[in-house]
Amino acid sequence: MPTQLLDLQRMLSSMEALRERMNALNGEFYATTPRYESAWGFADNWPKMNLLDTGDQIEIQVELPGFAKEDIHIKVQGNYLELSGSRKTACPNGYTVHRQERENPTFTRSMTLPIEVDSGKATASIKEGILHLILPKSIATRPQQITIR
Amino acid sequence: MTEENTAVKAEKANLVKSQKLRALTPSVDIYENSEEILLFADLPGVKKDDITIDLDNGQLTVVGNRYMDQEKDMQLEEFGSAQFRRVFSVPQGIDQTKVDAELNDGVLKLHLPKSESVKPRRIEVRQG
Repeated sequence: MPTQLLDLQRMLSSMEALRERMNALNGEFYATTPRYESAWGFADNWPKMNLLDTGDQIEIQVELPGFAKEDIHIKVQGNYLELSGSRKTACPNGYTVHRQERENPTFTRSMTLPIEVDSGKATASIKEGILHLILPKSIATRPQQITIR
Repeated sequence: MTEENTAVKAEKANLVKSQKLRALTPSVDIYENSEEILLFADLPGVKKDDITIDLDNGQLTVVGNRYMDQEKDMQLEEFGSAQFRRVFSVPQGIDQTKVDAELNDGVLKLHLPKSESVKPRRIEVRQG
């Protein structure tokens, strides 16, 4: 009788170990699977964009590799933002093409911002293929501290 | 001894760091002429020092790590820290010592010059 119990215990502990192993595997799997970005997908949500609200301003980051600052057009009106642009990825002269995946000649992406911004004070810069757009919120929509008299 | 230990530790830390990154496949263009193979890869947000290019046994591995600050008040997040990685087979006859890479506006440009022995040559016919 004690031997049988021991066998059962051993079997259960090995099952436990297997379950832990599977959990670890799953975790690993989910960590490495792209959540938003698919390897080939830049169809309707291209270029990719991040939006941050830092209290007084909205910061937007856009992935735009190979774009010069003349290639990008930014239009802001109230709470409407439109980004458009094109880049030149033509085959250099005298070369034959083996593979051409980077061709995205023109793009337009527009969105409604969560809040109205002061378009006159907006600034934009591009670094390492990422566009940083700083849009200060218009005074009326900024959080205001009200002091009690 | 301690120096070695810190080096090993740093390497391990790097390994852990890069293992957590999301894996992405960068878009590439590959062109060829009689002098070289020219490769362009989109690596937005990757810094020069975070790119490693290995050419080993006819296999070219391009890895670029992008580290971005984790912001708490992100309202829309479509991209973040990631590892761009791609492996290519390179034909024989690339002069490994002359491989040259440059990074411009988030685009990697890689020159793979052909060695003299595989460049096309015109043979003149002599008067017999």
